[in-house]
Amino acid sequence: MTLGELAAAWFYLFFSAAILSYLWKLNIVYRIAEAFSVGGAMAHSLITLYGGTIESFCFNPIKAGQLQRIIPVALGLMIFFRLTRRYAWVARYPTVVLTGVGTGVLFGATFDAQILSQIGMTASMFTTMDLLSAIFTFISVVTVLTYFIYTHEHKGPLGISARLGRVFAMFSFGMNFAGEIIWYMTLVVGILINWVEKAINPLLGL
Amino acid sequence: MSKTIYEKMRTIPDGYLALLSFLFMLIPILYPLGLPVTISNTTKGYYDALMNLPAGSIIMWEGGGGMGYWDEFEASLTATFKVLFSLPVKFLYWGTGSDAPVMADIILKKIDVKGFNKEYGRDYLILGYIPGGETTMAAIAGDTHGVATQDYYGNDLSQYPLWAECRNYQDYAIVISVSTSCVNMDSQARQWHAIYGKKILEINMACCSPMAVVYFPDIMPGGLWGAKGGTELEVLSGFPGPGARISDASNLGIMPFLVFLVLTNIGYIGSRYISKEKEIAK
Repeated sequence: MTLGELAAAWFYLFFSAAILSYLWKLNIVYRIAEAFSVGGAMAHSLITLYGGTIESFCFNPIKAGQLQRIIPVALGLMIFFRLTRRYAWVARYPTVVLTGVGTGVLFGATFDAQILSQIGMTASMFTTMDLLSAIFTFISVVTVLTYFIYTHEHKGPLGISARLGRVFAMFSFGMNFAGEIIWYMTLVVGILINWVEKAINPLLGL
Repeated sequence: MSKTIYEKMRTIPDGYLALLSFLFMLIPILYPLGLPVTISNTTKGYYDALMNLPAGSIIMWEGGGGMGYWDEFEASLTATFKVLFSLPVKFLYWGTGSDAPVMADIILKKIDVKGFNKEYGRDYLILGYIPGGETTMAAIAGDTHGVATQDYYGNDLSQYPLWAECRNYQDYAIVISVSTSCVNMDSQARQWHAIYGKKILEINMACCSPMAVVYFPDIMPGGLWGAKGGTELEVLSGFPGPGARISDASNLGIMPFLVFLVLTNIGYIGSRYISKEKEIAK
């Protein structure tokens, strides 16, 4: 390991420890690390966007004769008119194009992908899953759907079904939250591994 | 007034929990434990889908995520790269996020690609970050050549034989999608499955699995979620990687949380019971 790599590892150790110091309380060291982190991320993002995207997808193809790419570049530049009070209306055009294209791309396939195919999969699960899992899934799908019926008071059988649906929905949210905790754990584990492997072990000669 | 045992259990300081969790996480980092790993159906589906691809298939790989999620994705990405390199298939990788090509590049430098007898441009291509999200996804599926002219390294794509084979959705056998968005599978299903009937394999964070499994197995034959998913693929494929240690440390680190969860709940229930008893006594 070179001296530069070791210095980088200790910078990493310092800044990650500074971020974790927030667990104790909000402090100046945390603030400094936060500013470095946000600034560094912004710089990286700008460099990546310019070098990797604007240059290779806009300027270079235009230079190579793909003049049609001037249109998206012009639309992109028009967004900046939003910064002026007098010509802010110009920015509406690229916004309209973005919204229109985005909606067009999304809308057509949404019904098929997220509604029809989901219904199809739910209906076919008795052939693709074991019976117990299929029954459990079927009950959970039906009861959760009844929870979202707002046009009828949740009383009687509908009330029972909706309450059961709420329990199933809570299972899903719980799993989601548990996954989130595991994700945070993984981040901390990654920090600890880097501390041990890159900063502490080389100093100890391990 | 002194606190009851239940109130003390309810108000254990967070700092102790964090410290204890840190100490538990350090154990497998310093002394690897090699805890047993259970292979989930989704990981098995992911592995089987790749293994069953016909020779010569081209895989469309949409890289996502960011360096901030490195530890969550490293195991999954490394294992997937190794599995793909070990198979007679090719892949085209592009970034839906600005860090995605950087992540791929870091992993490729760690893997002995030549040892797998794979060659850049013939067996795999790494494109840069292409902004636009779902719109770009649709454009790539419709006309891949219309979207990019250079690879991540700034080289002209027309010089690579693989690029000539990557024209549109018809050329791709399956899609691998990496993302940090829990609704990623929705957009994948819209653009690749609903329109072109392609199957999608997902790599995402651990917390996103409940949102994605609704597409399993018809639209999504398998998926890897979090470092755990990557660890499972390492075990299944026989390519050891960084996942085992990360998973062991996460599993041990969560133990204090589980103990505290039980204690605080006992504290809460106990406090309620005592306060009710006091009300009755009054």
